[in-house]
Amino acid sequence: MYDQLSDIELVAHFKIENDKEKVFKVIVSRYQKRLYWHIRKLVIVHEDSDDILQNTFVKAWRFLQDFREESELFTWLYKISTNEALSFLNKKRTKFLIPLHDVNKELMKVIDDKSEFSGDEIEAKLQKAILLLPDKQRVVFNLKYFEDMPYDDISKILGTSVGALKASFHHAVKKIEKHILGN
Amino acid sequence: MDEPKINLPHRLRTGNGFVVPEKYFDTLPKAILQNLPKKKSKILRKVVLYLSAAVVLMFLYLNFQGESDNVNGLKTIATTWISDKNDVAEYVLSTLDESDVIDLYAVSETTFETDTFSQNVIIDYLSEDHIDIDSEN
Repeated sequence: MYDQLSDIELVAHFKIENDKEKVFKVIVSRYQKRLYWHIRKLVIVHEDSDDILQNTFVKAWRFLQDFREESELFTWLYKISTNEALSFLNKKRTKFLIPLHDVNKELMKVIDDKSEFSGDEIEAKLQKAILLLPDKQRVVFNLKYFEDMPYDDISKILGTSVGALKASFHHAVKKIEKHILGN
Repeated sequence: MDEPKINLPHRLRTGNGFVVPEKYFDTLPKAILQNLPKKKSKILRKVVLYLSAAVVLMFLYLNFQGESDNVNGLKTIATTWISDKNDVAEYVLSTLDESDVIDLYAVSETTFETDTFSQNVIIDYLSEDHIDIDSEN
């Protein structure tokens, strides 16, 4: 019954109905894959991605009642998941007192692990090249390149101007091309 | 700024190569719903709140009650001790005869004249190095 509803209608039903779980289940089903892959490309490891995704939906459950339709549901969910993923990476760095590039080196090794990554050589090169970018730039590149998300939506997710995002993506592309094609 | 041309194979955009456990997405919604925080009913929360308040009040009451008992106990002990000492004094006095009492009175009235221990003697005494018996042990 709720499957056919739009995001706005789903949120409205969630706010007024006693059957919140059924409504929320539809939201989870609708966005689980998109959010999972968004997170996975940032944190690389499946188990970590699963944890972050669960945290994302728990937060969404808690705050959906107060959600205002000023932004769309999917940008709101992306915002939560992005913040959760970036917080996770920051905690990982400070927890072990290892510099920025070492965490990324550790993640590059995961890409060589066949249980986590089964893509071909060039796919592996691409993911490793993306790991060389600063966190926020990785988010910009992933959302633009893999999801072809409009800059306006990325701007709502990251709170960055469209102009800055375009510049960031431009630089990211150049770095990645240099890394892959140069090798 | 124009959209940059990406000189990478197009297929890289559609796939990513990451491994996902089989049926992960099939079971994920159920797993997420099971992990959601459950809201306690308002009535249950009130009951818990009142019970907690009752426990705290009981604790405070018992503590103060215990303290007043201790104070009363101490007062009893002190009063008994004082009255015991008065009894001893009264007993001693009762054993003395008149002449002893007069002597006792004379002693209590005696004042030590400062000349007996002149100031110079006192200063000399204080300035000498005296062996501290305790420190030798």
